[in-house]
Amino acid sequence: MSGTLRIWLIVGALVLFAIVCVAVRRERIRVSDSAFWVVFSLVIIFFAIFPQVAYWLSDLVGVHSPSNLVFAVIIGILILIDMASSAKISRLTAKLEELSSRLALDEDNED
Amino acid sequence: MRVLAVVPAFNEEAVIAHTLADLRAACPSVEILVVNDGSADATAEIARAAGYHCVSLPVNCGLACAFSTGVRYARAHGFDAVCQFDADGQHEARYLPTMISAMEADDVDVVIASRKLGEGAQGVSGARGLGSSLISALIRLTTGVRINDPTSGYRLFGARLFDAFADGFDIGPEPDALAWLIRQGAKVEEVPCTMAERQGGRSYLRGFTSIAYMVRTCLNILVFQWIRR
Repeated sequence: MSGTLRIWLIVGALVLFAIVCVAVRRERIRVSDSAFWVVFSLVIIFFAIFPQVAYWLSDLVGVHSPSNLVFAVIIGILILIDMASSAKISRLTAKLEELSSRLALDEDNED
Repeated sequence: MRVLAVVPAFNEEAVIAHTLADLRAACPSVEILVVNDGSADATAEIARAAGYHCVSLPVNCGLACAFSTGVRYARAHGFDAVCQFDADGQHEARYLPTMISAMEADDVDVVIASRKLGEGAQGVSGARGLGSSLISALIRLTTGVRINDPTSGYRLFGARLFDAFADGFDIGPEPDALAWLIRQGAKVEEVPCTMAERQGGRSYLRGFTSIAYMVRTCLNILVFQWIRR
């Protein structure tokens, strides 16, 4: 892992953290939903500050380049959160449909 | 002082009748509103059959949403305070009159029934107790106010806080909201109490949820409290 990569990882993580703070302040995201992104930016900073961990992990799994391992880990985490978001959207859609249908039936009963 | 006890209930058919009967017997002057949070069981039917006022959320929305429904009701009907009262029998109704007199006497905005005050102080054991102590320390660090039992869910909120709970974004009856409200100028007092064992139902804090709860609470108190409006 080159020094440049480590610096850019830290810059990227800080920008991400700033974006999350602005979103919380503007009431665009709940703190419970923002927690993942804060932890995620901390993980990136951790890899940038302690590249030894990336070297150790890449030896362990047999990947030649530690930077590739860092990218792979980041992509893996993002795939997981995207899946979780899809699942959450599905649950919300189901809830919204149930809510709409109940409201319609309640209005019908009142008439 | 007109007080509304808001009793959020999610699948509590085993205990709700007993809890409500206790509450009515101990505090006849307190009005009761059961907020049925989309239960799949007979919670709402039991409460209504026993003559209690019960509103039903059409789908399960969670504690914060059920509580804010109760606060909206209290605001619309001119109540002076709202008590957050568990349906599962953990909260003993006999402490509520003490909480109400404390609010009246000292003109505070929040009265917490605290398990860690008085002679019968109960240690909250294990990971839960550790989490509670951590939250208490963080609140002390960021607000300068000592709250001995921040995770007690047995609280009385005065009318000055109704707007925050009814209309606020991402605010629920939780310890991180307490810290934020204190920084907005709210006064908090604790009165000693003991709590019974949960009589039935399940806590919403278990496994992964409790880790997420701790992360959210600490993050809110340490970081986001300063940037929220």
